Amino acid sequence: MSPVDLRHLAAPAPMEIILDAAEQLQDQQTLAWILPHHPTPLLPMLTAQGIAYRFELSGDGGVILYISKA
Amino acid sequence: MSQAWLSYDDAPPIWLPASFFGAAMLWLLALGGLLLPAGMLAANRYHPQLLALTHVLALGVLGNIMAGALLQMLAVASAVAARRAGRLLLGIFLPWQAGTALLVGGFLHGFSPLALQAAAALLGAAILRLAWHGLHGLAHSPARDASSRGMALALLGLLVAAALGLCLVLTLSGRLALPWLPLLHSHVLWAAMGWLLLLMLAVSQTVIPLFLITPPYPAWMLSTGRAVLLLLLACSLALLFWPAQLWLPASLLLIPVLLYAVQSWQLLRQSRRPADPLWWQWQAVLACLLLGCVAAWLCAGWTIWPSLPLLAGLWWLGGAGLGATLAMLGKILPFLAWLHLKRLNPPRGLLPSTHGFLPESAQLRLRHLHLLWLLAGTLWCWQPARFHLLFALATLALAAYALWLGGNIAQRYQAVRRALPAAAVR
Repeated sequence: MSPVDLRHLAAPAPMEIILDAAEQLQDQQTLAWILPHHPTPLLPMLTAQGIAYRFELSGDGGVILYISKA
Repeated sequence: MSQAWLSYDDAPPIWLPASFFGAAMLWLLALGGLLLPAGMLAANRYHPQLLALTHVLALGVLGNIMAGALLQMLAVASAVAARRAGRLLLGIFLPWQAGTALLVGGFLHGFSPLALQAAAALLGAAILRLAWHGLHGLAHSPARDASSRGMALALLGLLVAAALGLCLVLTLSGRLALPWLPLLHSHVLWAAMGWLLLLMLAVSQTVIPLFLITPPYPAWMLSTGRAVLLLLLACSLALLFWPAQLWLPASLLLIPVLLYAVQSWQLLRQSRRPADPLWWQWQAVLACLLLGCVAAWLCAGWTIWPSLPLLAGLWWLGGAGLGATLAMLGKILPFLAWLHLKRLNPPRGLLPSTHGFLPESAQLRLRHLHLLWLLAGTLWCWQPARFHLLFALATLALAAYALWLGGNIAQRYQAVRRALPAAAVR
């Protein structure tokens, strides 16, 4: 699974895309995106939806966000 | 932003910031109405009509947007909850509007002492309530990021500007015998730099990297904010002893403005969203900050051209202040509408994207209208008797378009809300 790069999109478009995908997330499924920075405003909303998340550095200045069902 | 405590549960209900934003647009409409009669025939910075217009713009338009945005930012980005929204409306919003109306009326009716003192009491109460909410909340918040600290500095700047304004009113009413010229200069400097510039500096450190995808502002930008407050304090004290030497504070205060503008331009050049309307709007804001600052610096030592102080005020308040707040509203309002509806868990496909609430083309048109408004205002500063009607019509057009856009956002918000299942709305 290669993460989708959302770094060209301005806030809150990446947030909209990720929350939309989180709503349709299946059990055992993991999705990933590359973001320009740590998406702090998004995290409480993912938690409220029962979504678990983790991060990795993309190596070129961004962060990779992984989400799955908690 | 890297706050682990960030919580949308602390956010005020949407009607609280929306009340301030709506009132601001109505005050912009009132500004257009007040410009219609040719009150000031030649440029004169002490003319009652000009004082009234300046305070309509500074308190009615900018003050409302800044206060509404501050309450929202404090809640969401700095964990200063606005849970008793009704009390905030009573304690801040209502006295702010009544105080501004009385102040403007007082100026227009021969500096009526009664109206000015009542205005000072109401505005003082509203500003104290806002500052208490913000400063007390920030003191107990875990937030230590640049925006939160910057908002605290701006609130301190607002408090001092308000205190100086109160002293001016009491001096004008004959209740105090203070030297009014140093008071006036200090009031203008604290309001323009301690409140407006510092809040712009604080908010842009969050908003510019977030919306324009730029690297973050360097950490020394916060120290620049602190330095502005110290400089303002030193300048106010210096003005007490050498009231005619305005060029010194004006020269010193150019430095932080230049630093902020150059740093912001460097970041904008690295933006990954150069086609975003906000990118262009922020370029214009920075240009107006510099123009306003240079004009203010020039009129500190060069009093031959009476239009210069008017131009300094127009470019600072109308160009930089109104440009920045309209640009921010274009981003924040659709996001607020979207966020509030998103938290109600709407069925899939019902909630439009933020661009569905306010398309970028509308933001672009608003930017063009604002630039035309600024051009009309510049002509008015040059020859008020000749261009007052043009400036009045440009103001009315800008206000009407902004209100129409706000109405569209409200309509779309209500349409989605009505379409939600009853359980979600409850």
